[in-house]
Amino acid sequence: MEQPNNYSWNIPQRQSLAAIVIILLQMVVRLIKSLWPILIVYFIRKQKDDEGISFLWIIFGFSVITVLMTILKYWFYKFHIYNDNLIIQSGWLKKKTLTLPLESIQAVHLEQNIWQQLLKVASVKLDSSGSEKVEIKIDAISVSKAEDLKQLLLSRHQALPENADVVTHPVNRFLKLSMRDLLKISLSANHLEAFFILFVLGLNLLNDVNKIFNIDGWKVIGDYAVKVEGQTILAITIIILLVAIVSVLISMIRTVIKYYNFRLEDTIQGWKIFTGLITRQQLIVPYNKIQILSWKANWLRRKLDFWIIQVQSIGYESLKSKQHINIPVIQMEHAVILSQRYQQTPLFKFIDGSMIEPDIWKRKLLFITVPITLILLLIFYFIAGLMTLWILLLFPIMSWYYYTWYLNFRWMCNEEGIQMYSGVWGRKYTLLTWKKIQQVELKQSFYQRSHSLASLTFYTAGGKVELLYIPYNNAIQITNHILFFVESRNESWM
Amino acid sequence: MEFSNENILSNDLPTIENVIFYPLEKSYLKAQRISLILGVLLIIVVGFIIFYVVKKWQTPIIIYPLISLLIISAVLNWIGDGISFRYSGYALRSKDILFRHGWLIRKSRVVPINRVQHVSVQSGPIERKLGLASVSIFTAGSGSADFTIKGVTQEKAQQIKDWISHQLNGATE
Repeated sequence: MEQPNNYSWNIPQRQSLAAIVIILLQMVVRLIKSLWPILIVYFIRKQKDDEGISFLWIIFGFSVITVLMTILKYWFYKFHIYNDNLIIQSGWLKKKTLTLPLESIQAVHLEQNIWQQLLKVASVKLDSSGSEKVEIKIDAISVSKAEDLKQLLLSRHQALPENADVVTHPVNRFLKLSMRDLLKISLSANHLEAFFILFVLGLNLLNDVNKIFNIDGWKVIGDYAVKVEGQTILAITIIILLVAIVSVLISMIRTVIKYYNFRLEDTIQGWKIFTGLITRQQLIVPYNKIQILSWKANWLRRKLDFWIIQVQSIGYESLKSKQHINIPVIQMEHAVILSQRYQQTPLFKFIDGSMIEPDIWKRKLLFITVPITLILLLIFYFIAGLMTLWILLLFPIMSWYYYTWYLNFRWMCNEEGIQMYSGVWGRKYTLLTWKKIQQVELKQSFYQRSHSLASLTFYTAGGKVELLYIPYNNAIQITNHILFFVESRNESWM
Repeated sequence: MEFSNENILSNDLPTIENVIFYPLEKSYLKAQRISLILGVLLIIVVGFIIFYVVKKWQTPIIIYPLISLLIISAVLNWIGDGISFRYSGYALRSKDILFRHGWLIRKSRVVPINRVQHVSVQSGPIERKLGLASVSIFTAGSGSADFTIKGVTQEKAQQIKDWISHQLNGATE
């Protein structure tokens, strides 16, 4: 195997010294997040007595131990390449040696958080075939070394994937987000999530303030409400508006930070994604690792023709949401073009798709909305009396919601796989290729049995896709077709 | 390679219908019922402790509905286990493995052999006492086994595991 010119990867080497600083900084941040109430109490208390000095000694002792552990961890962490394997040695009390064949490395991601950018280092994360999560992470090596290592590790996968003969598209092979696009994304983001996070943080803060300073925040709010009697509604409205504005701003800032300088390169092996402001990421999504592909837009984003492609690759379900790969595209056409790397069959037209059975929306109403409405009526009747009858409005609202969801759901099978289209306010397209399927489950409730209906669940290495309430015969045909496809071709699913 | 173009009979195409499922061992129903009884006893003991500690909950309006709920759940589970047992079964074919189970909601799951990553056999304390075991089949992406054949004898479980492993080796050759 050819070695690159710059670095000798066959010699065991350590990470950059910056790794010590980064690990320490991460530990400090974690400590502050957990112990900030105790720290505030200590620093603002008026009497600095023996207890305070003991506390200082404990902090000092803990810090010394942490620094020593970090240095030891750094000193005993080495990596090199030998005999087409990446070998990583770690641990000082319990030594571990991890051997990863280079051939099994599917993707190499580079990441730089704010500390790494300041120290001019990057972390290297590796995905290997069949793994559920990122297996290996090298925390801090110089940026040029990281790039060199990435090129070396990926040089084993120069062979074209199966769909390499996909027609090259007349459009350019780059997706790039301008500042205007970034503004559109951030304005149309899910601000409700930020609102609820802020709300929960506010509640936690009131709780913490009560514990630390012995101040009952709710009592303070109540006393204030009494003082401004007659203007309570105005005060509440102003507070809600302020919280809403702050939520929107926070949500926008988070989106901008996440997608700043977003760029996608559509290569033969996979997509290369560059994104991030504070934490800069270089991600590689090999096409063969994609298990399920979908793209969606909420109501506002549909109007702006702005979509988010969600890539469900191996181990998707075990990842945290911030680890998911989401690709913003500014036109539906771009989403369709990119999706052809996964499934070449053109997207079906809405009117040509098959519908699911109408029984589903009626049964969702009967078994979800009715019990919830009754329970809420029962609970709130003792509090609000006849005013509780407003809860009955849930029934027509949810009827409309489920009915619209049923009307908008379409599906179609083709030679390659299945395509689905769904949504009430927003819209979602889901593609699943037959060869990605690991298991199929056919489910029939008592009602479905008596009405010749069934539901199918397709399990893949990156999650599952459900097709609910279709005719039983269709379910059998689809299952039989999948079995024939998977068993007769013996094609690799990855 | 010699070219051939033979007719494929419809019988040769894989189908999820008309599969012959092997029934589970009768002692598995016994194991399920023993587990149910133990579970109910545990709930009763925990309930006693909670009601003893939290005295304000010792009112008929709380106790009677909870007891009724427990009895109804236990009876439904008892009946459900019996019906589900009659429906449950597994099938091993040259290219795939099937398992079905359920009472009100019946599920049939199929996994092609060429998707199996590995197989394991396990046995809980009640199963061991009755000479039973379960075979768990792992496919890619699943952190835990999501395809488990339950209610087979320990010997049969080992045979199934060996058979699948043999098929896997044959599939990779």
